[in-house]
Amino acid sequence: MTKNTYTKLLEQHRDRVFSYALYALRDREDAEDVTQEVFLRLWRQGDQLELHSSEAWLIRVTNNLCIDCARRRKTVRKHLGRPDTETLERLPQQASTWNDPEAALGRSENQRNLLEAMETLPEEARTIMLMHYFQGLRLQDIAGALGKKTSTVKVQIHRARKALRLVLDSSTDFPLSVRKETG
Amino acid sequence: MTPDTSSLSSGSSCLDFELHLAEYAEGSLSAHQHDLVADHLDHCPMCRAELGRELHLRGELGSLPVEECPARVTRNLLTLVEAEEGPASAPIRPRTATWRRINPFLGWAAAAAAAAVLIWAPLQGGSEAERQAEARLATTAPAEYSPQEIKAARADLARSLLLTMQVLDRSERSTVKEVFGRTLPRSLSRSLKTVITPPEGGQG
Repeated sequence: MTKNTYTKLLEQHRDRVFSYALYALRDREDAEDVTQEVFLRLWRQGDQLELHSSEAWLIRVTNNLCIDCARRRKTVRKHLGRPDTETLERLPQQASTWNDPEAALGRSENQRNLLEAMETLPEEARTIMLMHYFQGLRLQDIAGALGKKTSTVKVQIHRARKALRLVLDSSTDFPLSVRKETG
Repeated sequence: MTPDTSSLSSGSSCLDFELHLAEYAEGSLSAHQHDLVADHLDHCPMCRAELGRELHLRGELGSLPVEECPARVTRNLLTLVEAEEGPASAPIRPRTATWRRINPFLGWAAAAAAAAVLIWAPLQGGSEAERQAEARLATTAPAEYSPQEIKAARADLARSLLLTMQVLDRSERSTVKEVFGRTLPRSLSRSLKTVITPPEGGQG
């Protein structure tokens, strides 16, 4: 891969990769690290990577690195021996960082609520939701990228949708909450 | 237990239809399955409501803004790539699994080594041993290191320096977070830096 081609790929995909990492990890610095590592690996792939498959490769590697990063964070917390109560106390602080006004400028109130509700989902379900709805990947492609059956991905999406509905149920004006259909 | 999602028929349950709603919305069902779901939706208000939620989710998450990747990420990447980029004919050496495993530690090792040299060198003050080591290096370096190895070492050094800078930057931001209880918006952080940083030409 020439430097010219690499720069083009970087310019074309960096925002998307960064955004995905940001929404998956809810931490700007971690998202920056992941983005940097993804594109460094892209460069090191050199000619082994065919250009037409570079987008799928980027999504797969970004997703893997996000999962690694989330696991590392979990391990660090475990080794630091923080009790659960302390972790819970830190959540609002983390949420305020996540809701950095500068970063949240473009997001609507509904989207902010939804992103916060998504934090209650298991890691894999959140990943699948982002891959499907944000990245626009088809269920079959997600299954391929994660090495799972398409039926498993379907079930995960269905369960996540139900779980989100429960979490958002208290929010009266949110359309995902339970609405009794009349007539 | 994972329900069977592979087949649909007119006698399928609401759960079966709900499992297919994501594919129905993305338009990837076969024509036959699409018609079955559409027929079911016509007379099932619960599944219609579920489809409404599916479409809403699709709309909200699908329209999340794409955040701009910070310029420093691009800058860092181009610096690293430039350091790794050699003569046109020289391919980048493939990294072995072992190298990849130790790679994350190289930055720290290099930073520690640099710190040790900075502390140790002034204390030694140009000893006989140091002069001998320098002479040995001068005579052996050209024969012992190939251009590829030198290039790889240069790339590792660039990576290490970059990592050190990132660690410093991150510790600075963490300190601010500890003191103020939250990260400062970048615009404010930049303004503060401009105020704090002394102008070029020193303090005099």
